[in-house]
Amino acid sequence: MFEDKSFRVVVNIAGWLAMVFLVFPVILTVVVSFNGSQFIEFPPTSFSLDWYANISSIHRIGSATLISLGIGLMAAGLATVFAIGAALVLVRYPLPAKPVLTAFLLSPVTLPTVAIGIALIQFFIMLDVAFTWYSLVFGHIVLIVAYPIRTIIASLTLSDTSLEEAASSLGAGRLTVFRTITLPQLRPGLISGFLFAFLISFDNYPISIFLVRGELTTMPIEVFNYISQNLDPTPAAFSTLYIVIVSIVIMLAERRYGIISLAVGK
Amino acid sequence: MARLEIDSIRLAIGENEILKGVSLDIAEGECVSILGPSGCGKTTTLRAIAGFTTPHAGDIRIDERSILELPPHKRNLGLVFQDYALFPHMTVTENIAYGLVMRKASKVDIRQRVDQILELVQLSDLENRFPSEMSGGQRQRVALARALVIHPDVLLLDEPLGALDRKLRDQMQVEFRRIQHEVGITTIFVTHDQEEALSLSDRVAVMLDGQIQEIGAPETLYQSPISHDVMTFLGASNVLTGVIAYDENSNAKVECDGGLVLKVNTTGLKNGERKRLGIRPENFTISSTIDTQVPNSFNGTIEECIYKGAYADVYVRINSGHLINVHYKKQHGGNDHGIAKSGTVVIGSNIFISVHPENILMFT
Repeated sequence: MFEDKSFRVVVNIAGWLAMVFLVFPVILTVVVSFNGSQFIEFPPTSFSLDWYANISSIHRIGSATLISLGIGLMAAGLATVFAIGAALVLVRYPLPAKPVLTAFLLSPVTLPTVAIGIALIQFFIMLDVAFTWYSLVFGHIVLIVAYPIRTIIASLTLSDTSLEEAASSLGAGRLTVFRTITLPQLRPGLISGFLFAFLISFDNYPISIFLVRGELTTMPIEVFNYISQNLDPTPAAFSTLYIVIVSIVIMLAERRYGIISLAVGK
Repeated sequence: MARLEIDSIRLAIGENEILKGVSLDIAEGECVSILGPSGCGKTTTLRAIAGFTTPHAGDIRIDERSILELPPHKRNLGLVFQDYALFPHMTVTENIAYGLVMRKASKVDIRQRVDQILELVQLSDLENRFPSEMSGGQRQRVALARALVIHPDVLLLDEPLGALDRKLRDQMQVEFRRIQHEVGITTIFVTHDQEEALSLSDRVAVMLDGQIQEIGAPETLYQSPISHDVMTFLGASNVLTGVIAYDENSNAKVECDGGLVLKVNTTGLKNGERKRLGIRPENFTISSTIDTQVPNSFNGTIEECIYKGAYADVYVRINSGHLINVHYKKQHGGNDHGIAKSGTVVIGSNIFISVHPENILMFT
């Protein structure tokens, strides 16, 4: 058997190695983005901000980012609304085959994304709505709805039904109880679910690639296009900006609502 | 203020019958407790009154009008939950004002009534705190204030003091009684704590296995219960069985096994009838010498003594072989009956215990 102390040391080392493994590519990206060289190389040879100035040379990067932002906000917003309904049914109502239903709703996470992409484009062509912004939104919803469902289920499981009973005994009807008591209790789950959904939609490539054409392209697609034709670190500069912004948003959300514990699941 | 009638309600979950015809009539301004062990159906009864569960048979009426058809939010009842169920995202004021906002009271009216009730529960200085920033006792008061401020017809409490520690419980008991008297509201509360039930209510309804076994004033219920189950549930008792026999002067006595004979006061007993007897530990007197004036005096040896503070639980093996539980209280500055040395009872000492025939409870 392990001595308690030596076991802890082993776990600590393993933990730190895993962290380094996960964080290293991010650090590499950041470092490369400040390198003066024409090529992606490590360790860096000189310092420069040229690649940041060069971000605008990525084709349609501004409008594609705006489209991604719009699609992401809409898809995440709708997915969160759907997820509230789904989670309420799954947690609060006696249903037959609950595990099956839960597995079905969470399945997009486990299915190959490319398969979902192919299925979606065939479906949308059949409905004659392919390559429209709203079909892109709905395609993304299919992919991301599992995340808010999961976080809202966690919030609902932690929430206290006696609060709702207390509110109704004080004269609140069902809708009022939901609005004034249930929803505020679900806030951490709603916010973290929305955030995860948005982030996954925002940088999704494999589904979007099937669903976009011409003027309707998203940010990840334009960045990949650039990478496939150029070897310079401009995408690294863009990614660094992206990482910084996302990190700040997640940090703020965690400080305010403790979203990480919910996403991991208690 | 209102009168509450629970009229033989029945409720089953699946095969399991939880309420087997519960009836309870509570007068205006009366405070009644439902006392019973966990799983006896007391909380289900409360939830049925509140409207969170619907009985399959029977009726619940407030001032002669059935409330069974009304949803919970239209019943105008004040509820205090066991864990208080305060809204964590609202301040004390917002919590208390919630019911008034639902009733569309004016801002001025709400402010006035919230201030008034905060004063009643002595929390005026904490009105802007959140529940998480308060102690258990304070939360309890907020929950009570929130339920009372809407002027409910009936106040319902679920184990109101259950989550508090001993000292706070005693304080809140006094406090609760004061508020209840001041407001004079019809109150029903459920508890498994007999001390709480006996000290807080005008009448106690003992509930066992989905039925109200017996209802009465706390003293009556404790001193002279009609049902054997109620006697054993309420406080400790020595339980004996024996056969009624009359002596030559036609005085009733009970012959128990082991040759133990108890004189009893009850009249109208049949000769040869088998009876169960109950004697409360505090109704025995304990003494080192036999007093021939006293009936029902028995010789025995102290086997165990458990110190409880205000008294000691003494277990005496009497000569018939029965182990009898007797409360021993050291008389202040007086005679300690010679059974105690420097305040403690000596195990193994030979003593006499006696009980007055009046204090022997008899059950079929």
